[in-house]
Amino acid sequence: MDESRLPVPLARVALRVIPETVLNRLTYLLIRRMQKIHPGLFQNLARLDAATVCIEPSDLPYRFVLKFGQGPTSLRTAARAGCSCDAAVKGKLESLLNLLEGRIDSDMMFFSREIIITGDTAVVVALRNTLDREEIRLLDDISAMCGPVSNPARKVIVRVNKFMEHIKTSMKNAHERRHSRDANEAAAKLECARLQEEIKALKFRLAKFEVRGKRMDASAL
Amino acid sequence: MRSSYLELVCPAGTPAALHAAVAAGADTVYCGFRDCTNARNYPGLNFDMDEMTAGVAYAHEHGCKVLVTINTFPRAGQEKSWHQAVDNAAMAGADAIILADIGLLDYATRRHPGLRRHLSVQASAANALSILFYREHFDIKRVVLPRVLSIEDVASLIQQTEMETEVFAFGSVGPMSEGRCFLSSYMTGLSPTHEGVCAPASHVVYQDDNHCIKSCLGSVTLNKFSKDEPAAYPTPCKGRYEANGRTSYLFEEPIGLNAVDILPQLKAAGVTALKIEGRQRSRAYVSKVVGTFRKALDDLAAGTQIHASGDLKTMAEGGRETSGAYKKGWR
Repeated sequence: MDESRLPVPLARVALRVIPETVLNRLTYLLIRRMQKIHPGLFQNLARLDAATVCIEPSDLPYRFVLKFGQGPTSLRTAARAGCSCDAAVKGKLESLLNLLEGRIDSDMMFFSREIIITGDTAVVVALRNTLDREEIRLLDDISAMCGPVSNPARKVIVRVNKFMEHIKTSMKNAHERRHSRDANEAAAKLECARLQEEIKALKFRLAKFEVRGKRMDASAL
Repeated sequence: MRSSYLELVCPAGTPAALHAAVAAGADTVYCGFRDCTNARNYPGLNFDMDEMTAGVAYAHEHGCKVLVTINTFPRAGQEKSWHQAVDNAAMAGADAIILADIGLLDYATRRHPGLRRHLSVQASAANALSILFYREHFDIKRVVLPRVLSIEDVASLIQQTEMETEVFAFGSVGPMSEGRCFLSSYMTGLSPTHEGVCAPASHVVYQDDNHCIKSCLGSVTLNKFSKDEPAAYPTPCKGRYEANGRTSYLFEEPIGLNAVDILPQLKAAGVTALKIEGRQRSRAYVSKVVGTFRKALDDLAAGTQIHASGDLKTMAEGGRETSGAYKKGWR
């Protein structure tokens, strides 16, 4: 695992279980923290025309609404339906995080249909170009929210993810073992049934020989 | 003018992309100012004066040259913005400027005679007489050749003109006379030659129609991609149109140019520099494409086999690659 990256499985679980009000408070704090870490990014966002973009992770039950341009930048959650934005970007959470951190080319993701863009394309292009100017490492920014304990917090995030990955791997292995044991049991049962049939046939033949032998003995007398 | 070394000229739409290009092994980076003086005038892209000055200084520190692209055509009565861009490029310490307009070439020749001038692909100089005209009158040092020439054509031009030439090695395939896309102008009312954008984002709309993607430019539907079909740029020349009851790519298919397999031939033809297109692409693209070409050129210089076929397929438009006119010539 690349320890400089925000662990996606952990992020996905966290985003599913954290209550919406708490999540909105956390995103507010994250944006405030990022304003301090990336002042250039927010200056560039403020230079853009005012716009609202829906960020829709297809593997989460809600979406994020990002407001920027001609004023303060904000990020909040919204229900899947009934959100009127200038544009929307839809894709898996992992793809969207890669996009935010500039790890993958957005045009390539567009060609391969990993992300889908709808609405005002100029707004999305401006946002993409502005984000791409900045070196964003979300794990660093999230751990920085913890102030003086940011390093331990980062370690905790990495460890929890490792633990989750370990549990996931263990469960997968156990599942495979279980399947393998079941398969072995089924094969043993089949073999057992075959042997039982064979014993039964041999017993039958033996009985026949015994009867034949007795008959031969009787005729000899 | 044959050089044993092929110069790798790489795109930078942002300072971050410039850093990525330098780190990935670019010999030269080209970039533009944040206005309509360059042909990639997209929102959020390009350099302001401070960024350009810092970018040039950073590149020079790392042994890399910077070319400033001022390759759109000044509008009547508004030449000042273009003149200002030339002056700013000189002030920022650029190694050369890439120009297309005759008036602007004249201005730069008179005002900044010591600043190298390259002829942009936007000038569409595709024959020896045209190239020699620009050299004679504006002392251009290099010409960027249009993507309509075969390798034999390129070799012949170099022989006739003895000019430094820069050819496209990776990017898009355009069927138009470079920089004169009247289709885009017709559909949007905005001229790529003046505004610096082909298929301006403000006029592009994507519609998600039950997992099918419909791309429109202005009121014209350019394409509709089925569920598993790779998508493409919303440019009019790559549109899928219905004509005579048949739907097809009338002008050009969405496919990317990749010349990595013909680098030895381009070198043998006498080409000076290879241009990677994509100032509008991300820094991830720049890192990947520049890194791949750097390795291929190093392999070529070392005389070893180039192993790069297919490495950049996912980066190409529509997920497909071609060697374009270099092998097949132009229709």
